[in-house]
Amino acid sequence: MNRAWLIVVGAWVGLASSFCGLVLVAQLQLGRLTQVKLELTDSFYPPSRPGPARRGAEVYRALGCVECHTQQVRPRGQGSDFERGWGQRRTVAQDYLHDYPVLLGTVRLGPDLANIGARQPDPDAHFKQLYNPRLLTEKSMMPSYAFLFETVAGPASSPAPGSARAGTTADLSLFPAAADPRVERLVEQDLHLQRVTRFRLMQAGYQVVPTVEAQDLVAYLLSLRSDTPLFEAPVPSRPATDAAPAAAPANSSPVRPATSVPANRAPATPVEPQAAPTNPIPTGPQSRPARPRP
Amino acid sequence: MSSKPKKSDAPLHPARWPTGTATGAIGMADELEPWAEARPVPAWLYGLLAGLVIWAMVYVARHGADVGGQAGPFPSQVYDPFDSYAALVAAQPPPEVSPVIKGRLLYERNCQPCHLPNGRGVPGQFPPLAGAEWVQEQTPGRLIRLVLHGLSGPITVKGERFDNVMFGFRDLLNDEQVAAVLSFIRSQWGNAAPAVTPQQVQRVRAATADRDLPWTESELAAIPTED
Amino acid sequence: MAIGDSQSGPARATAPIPGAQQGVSAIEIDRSCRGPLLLLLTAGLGWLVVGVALMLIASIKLHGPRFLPGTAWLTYGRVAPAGLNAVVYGFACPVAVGLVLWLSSRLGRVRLAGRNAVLVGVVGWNLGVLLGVAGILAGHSTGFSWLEMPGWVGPILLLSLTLMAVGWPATVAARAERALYVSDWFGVAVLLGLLWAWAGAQWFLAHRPVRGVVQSVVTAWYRGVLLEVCLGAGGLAALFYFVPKLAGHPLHSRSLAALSFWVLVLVGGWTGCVHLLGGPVPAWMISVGTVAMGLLLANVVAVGLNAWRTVSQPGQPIRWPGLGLGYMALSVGCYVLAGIEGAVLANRSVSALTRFTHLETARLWLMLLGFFGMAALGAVHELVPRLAERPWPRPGLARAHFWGTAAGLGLIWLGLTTAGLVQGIKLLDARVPVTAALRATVPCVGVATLGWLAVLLAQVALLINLGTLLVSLTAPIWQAVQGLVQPAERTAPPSPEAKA
Repeated sequence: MNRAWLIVVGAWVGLASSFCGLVLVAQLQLGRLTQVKLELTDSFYPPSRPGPARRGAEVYRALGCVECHTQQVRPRGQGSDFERGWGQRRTVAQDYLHDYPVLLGTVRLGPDLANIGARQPDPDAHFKQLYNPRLLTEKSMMPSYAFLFETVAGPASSPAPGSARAGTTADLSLFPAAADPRVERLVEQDLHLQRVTRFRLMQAGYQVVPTVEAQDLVAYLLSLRSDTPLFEAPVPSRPATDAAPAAAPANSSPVRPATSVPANRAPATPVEPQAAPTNPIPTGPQSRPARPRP
Repeated sequence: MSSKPKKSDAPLHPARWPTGTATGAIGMADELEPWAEARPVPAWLYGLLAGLVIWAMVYVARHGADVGGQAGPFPSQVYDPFDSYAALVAAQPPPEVSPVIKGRLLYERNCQPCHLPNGRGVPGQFPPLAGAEWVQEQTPGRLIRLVLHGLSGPITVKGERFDNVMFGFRDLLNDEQVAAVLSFIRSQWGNAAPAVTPQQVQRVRAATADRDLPWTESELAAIPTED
Repeated sequence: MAIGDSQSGPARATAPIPGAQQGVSAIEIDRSCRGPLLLLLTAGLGWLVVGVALMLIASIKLHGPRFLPGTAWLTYGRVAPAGLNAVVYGFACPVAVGLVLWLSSRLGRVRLAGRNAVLVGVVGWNLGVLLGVAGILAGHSTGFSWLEMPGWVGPILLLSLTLMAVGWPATVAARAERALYVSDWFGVAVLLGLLWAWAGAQWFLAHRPVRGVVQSVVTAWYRGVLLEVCLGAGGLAALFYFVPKLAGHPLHSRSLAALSFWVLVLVGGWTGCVHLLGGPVPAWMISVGTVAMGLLLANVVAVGLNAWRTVSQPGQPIRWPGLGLGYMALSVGCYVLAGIEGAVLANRSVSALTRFTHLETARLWLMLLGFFGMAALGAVHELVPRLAERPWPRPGLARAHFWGTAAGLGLIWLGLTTAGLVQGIKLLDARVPVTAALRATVPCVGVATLGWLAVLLAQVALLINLGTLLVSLTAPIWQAVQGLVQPAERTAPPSPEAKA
């Protein structure tokens, strides 16, 4: 133990063993996964994220949402993720194929978001949650992201004068002038906190409009779902039901009835996508025709 | 209880050092560097280490290493709570497909982004499917055409006017898939129209083989209600 | 009390030992290290203050989400990683490297080699950390846990680290004392581990990103190597040096320390997978992480035993010469506690309750600030007077620093542990809404906030102490300047009144 080269070699061996055993083996086992073809729907899993959702992933990363929210459903027996309706099956490597960075999360200071797109498909609820979470949950501990929104003068029934958003404010505005007094009070507090000096607009009517960042972020949240049964993560079989699930509140959601769907056997023969490198069936907002943008 | 040191690698004797100007505030003779006695490791610590190594090997072998399993050692598809590949295979659900489930999955992947869950649609943008007269026609010819090639321009649904563009799914869904998703839409959310068969879709696809453009409302209305 | 008097017999003490004629005195060694090391330590303490302040803001936001709203720069999701990165990369890593450099010089009885490279490396490192932390606050965080600094900062830090470490092989090769002491071994682990882990993480995450969850595996491996191997070895290097030196007894057993070293380097890198418990990686990876944390118990027990037997000699009361040994004793205690806690939390069944709760954060700060922080701060407490060749100007502030940091860390750990237990128990019951579970932790997190405040005030006290010492170091410069100014005053022309 007095020879420096021996110590160096020993430390090198120790570091190399963990590097090869973890990083290199993980790369061999999981680093070359590709989309798998689902027999049932002839679609590919996971679907690629279209434009606004991919930009939304950048917003999610830049705001540091990963510091409070996880995006992984734990297996049965390790926590109450299933009982809380956070997923129908545990998340596996296949679910994160298109993510960069993979934002698994380390602490849960809020609900898990791996399936939030399935649990809360209503974009308005997401916008409200971001603007002021206390609008949806009275004692929420989540900070408000009102800086992702803009306040525009004028009631919702008429577009903001001189605004290029004339065509879209009708569906994007959240709070028409004659709103619930509790909502008005909360919004007033937040406007005051942000020192919006135009809060005198409250008399004339105002609209709160999400910025492009907020829209992209909500598009990303709506794209978050990982409930497709896979070979390595089968959904436990239960009696099949045909009912489409109702939109659930953000915080506590009922467990959706699981359907018995044959698990994909693709790992034996993963199929390369034929036409395009990504999912040939467009999903998500990209499949919407272009709306007039502000 | 400590045993006597056997041999020592004591550092250089302090008397050999040149005396430096050690500041009084630091106190002790700073020239002296620490050295370690050569006592052996207590036997019980070796025993602890050996016990931990044995436990480690048993634990990994039981939880995930799957030595001797069908998929080889350290299989990459075996996730918690499964301990082995055999347990994973045993937990696969039996194959059983209902066409309505297939239709629902196709709807969620392809139609839900615009027409929203429950076929509500977005006022002013995307027409609703729940209770829509275009969806519930007895013969689905117009509906199949709409899905295959899309629609552009104004259309009235349930008394409300929409003016937008829907692209067609002719190249993206095969006959069976179109039939499944249309059957699903026609049986959900209060709709009660007969299912669509793949043969009906195939017949419409052949009849409109040379059409590329989306339909307009007047064109669709001009199509006779045939099969 | 001189080391070597009590245990060695008369025959050993007088025997000549080869190589005794070479060697540099401690003062000369300290003078060779002075410039770069003082700069490194001062900058490191500055970053500790910045990091703890950011963590204080983040801790307040945990129980007061309406604190400092309205701007993206101060949202919790940016402040928390900025604080962690400031502490880890601004304080912990450079201080570990600096300690290793000083220890290898002192133990080898040779001047520090490559001190200019170290100086440039320190400046470059701090510049990189500044850009990195500012980048996180500006929204350019990478999203990877413990690697949030933007990708383009990676090469700057790697180059600076190489510059800082480039002289170390020369120092060790030229050493007069050919026998290696325990701290030298751990120094190897620090430098090699930091270089490898940082380069590997940057390569596989920023330069040639791997696909999917392999990113999470790389991040987890990196975190295990950095915390358990690199910072663990850094703290142990300081402990194994200062505990015998300050206690006045030789280290209890060299073989026990060798066992610690080998267990640490062979097993420590595998522990990262505990950060993937319940995560989307195959079951065998998680099992490997669990057993690695269990095997590290052998290291933890060995360190605790070694330190205890060194300090407490049979038949003699334990002597506490000054604060230095107090820092080290607390550090050892935190290491043992963190080791046991880590092994318990790595268990799958326990993780059902504790995963994703404040408990894991509590264990993290116990290791980072409790174990490494106290060892490093104790080393700073001993090092700075030796480098500057004068004592601490304000002993009261030094004591305030020790007790404030100790009390603050205790509050942080207790607060976050109880918060984590409450959070875990409530989240395990699916009938309790998430909001109610988090609200129940508010008083406990409030205790942790008080702890952060205490730690911050203590570090400010240390910085004032250090600042006063550094200003007094520069006193000769001011005197020289005054000497230049005064002769000019004497030869000034007489005033008009005097003439009249």
